[in-house]
Amino acid sequence: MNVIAGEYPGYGVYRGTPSEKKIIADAESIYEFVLENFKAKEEDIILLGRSIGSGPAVHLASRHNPGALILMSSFTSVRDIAKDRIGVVGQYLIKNRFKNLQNIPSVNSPTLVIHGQKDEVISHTHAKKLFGNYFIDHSSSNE
Amino acid sequence: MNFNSFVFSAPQSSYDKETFQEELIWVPRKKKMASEPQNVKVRAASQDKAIIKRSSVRKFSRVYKISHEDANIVDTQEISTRIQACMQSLEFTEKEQREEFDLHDISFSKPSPYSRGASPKANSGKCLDVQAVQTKLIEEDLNSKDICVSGLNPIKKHHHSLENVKGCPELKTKKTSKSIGCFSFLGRRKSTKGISAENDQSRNSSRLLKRSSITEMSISTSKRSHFAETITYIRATQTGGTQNNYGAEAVQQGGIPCLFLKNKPPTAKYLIYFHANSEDICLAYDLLDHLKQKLKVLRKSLTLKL
Repeated sequence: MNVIAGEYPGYGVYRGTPSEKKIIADAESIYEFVLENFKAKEEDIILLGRSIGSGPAVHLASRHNPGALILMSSFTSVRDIAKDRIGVVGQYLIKNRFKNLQNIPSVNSPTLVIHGQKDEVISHTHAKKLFGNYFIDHSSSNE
Repeated sequence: MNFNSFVFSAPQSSYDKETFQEELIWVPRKKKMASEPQNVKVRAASQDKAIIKRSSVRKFSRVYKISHEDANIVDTQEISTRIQACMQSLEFTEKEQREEFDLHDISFSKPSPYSRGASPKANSGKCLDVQAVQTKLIEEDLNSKDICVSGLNPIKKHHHSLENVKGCPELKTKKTSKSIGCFSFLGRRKSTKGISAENDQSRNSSRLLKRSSITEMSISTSKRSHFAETITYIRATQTGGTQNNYGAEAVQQGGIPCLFLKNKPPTAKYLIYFHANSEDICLAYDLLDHLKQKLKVLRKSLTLKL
C-alpha cells in the first residue's frame, strides 16, 4: 500500500493560513495528482480522514468514486463539535465548516467508520450520525 | 466569526524540508478549484437535510500546468531561431517535394514509453509527461544538429490518425493541408557519403518527420508559446532534487508538501491520508508507516506490471 499524506496550510513546512477552502482545494489537487501522475485508478484509492481530516476525505468521496473511505474520529460538522463543547448558543460563534453530515449521503464508496467510545473531544455520537446518514441513500445496497 | 486558531490548532512544525528529503514530494496546486457541487445536484430535501446525488463522473484535467510567469524564463526567440535553422538544413527528395506521396510512406510514431502505465519515478525520478518527453527529444535533436523534429502533436493524434487514414483512402493520392495534421510520414533525406545505407535505413525508421508540425511551430505563436512552456517545465524538473522529490524549484513554490511512502513491492493501491488538526505529516509518520506495512491489499489484478 502506497501512502500519501498531504499537509495543511500553516502546518509543518507549508506556509499559509489554514481554511476550509484551501484544505479542500489541496485535497482535490492531491487526489488528481495521484490519478494523473501515478496513473492510479479511482477504485485503487483509499481515503483515510482522521478528526478534521474527515472533512476533506468526505468531500472527496462525495464528489469522486474512490475505492473506499475510512473515517477515524470523524464529526458531523465543526459547528456540531462546538455545540457539544461550548453549548447551543456558543455554536453560532463559530463558522460552520466541513459539513460531513450533508456530504456523506452522496458517498458511493464503501465506508468504514472508526471512533473511540471514550473520545472526549469528538463524541462518538458524531460517528453514529454519520453512519446513519450514510445509509439514507444506500438503503437498498448491502454495503 | 472564524476562530481559525481554535479549529485549526496547528502544532509546532516537527520537521523541516531535510527531514523527509527522500519522501517529501510537492504536489502542484490546482489553479482552479472545482466549483461547489459541480457534479452533484440536490435531489430532494428530507428532514431538513439536503440529499445529494451524483449526476456525472468528473473528468480530470492535466495535473501539471506551467504558468505564464514560468514561461518567461525561456527565451522563445532562441528556440524559434534554432528551429528555423533546423528547417533550413532539411533536404527533401524529389518525391517529397512533390505534393503527392504513397500510403507506404506513411508511418505512425509509437507512443512514448512514458505515455501510459510507467511510473514517473522510472524516469530517474523526474516527473515528465508525454509532451514533455517528446519535446525533450526535440531539444536534444536540435542540439545535435540532427534533422529530426517530432512529437509536437500529442500522442492522441497518432491514434486518431491511424483511424483517419484507414477511413480515408483519398489520402493515398492527394495531400491536403488538413490531412497533414492527421498523420506523419517518414522524413527521407539524401544519403551522404559517410553514412552507409544500413544506417540510413535505420535512421529513417526510427526518426519521423512532421512537416505540419514544423510549419505550425514556425508560424503559430500559440504553438511556440506552448513549446516554450513545456521546455520550461522540463528544465524545472531537471533542476529538481532527490529521486522522490517531484518538485522543482518552480513547483515547490506553489506546491503542497506531501509525505509519500512507497510500498515495496510496487503496488497500484494508494492510501490518501488527511491528518488531524493536532498533528502534521511528521507526527503521523509512524501511523502511516504502520499502515503501509500492515495493510496488505495486494491483488494480482492490482499489481503493476513492470
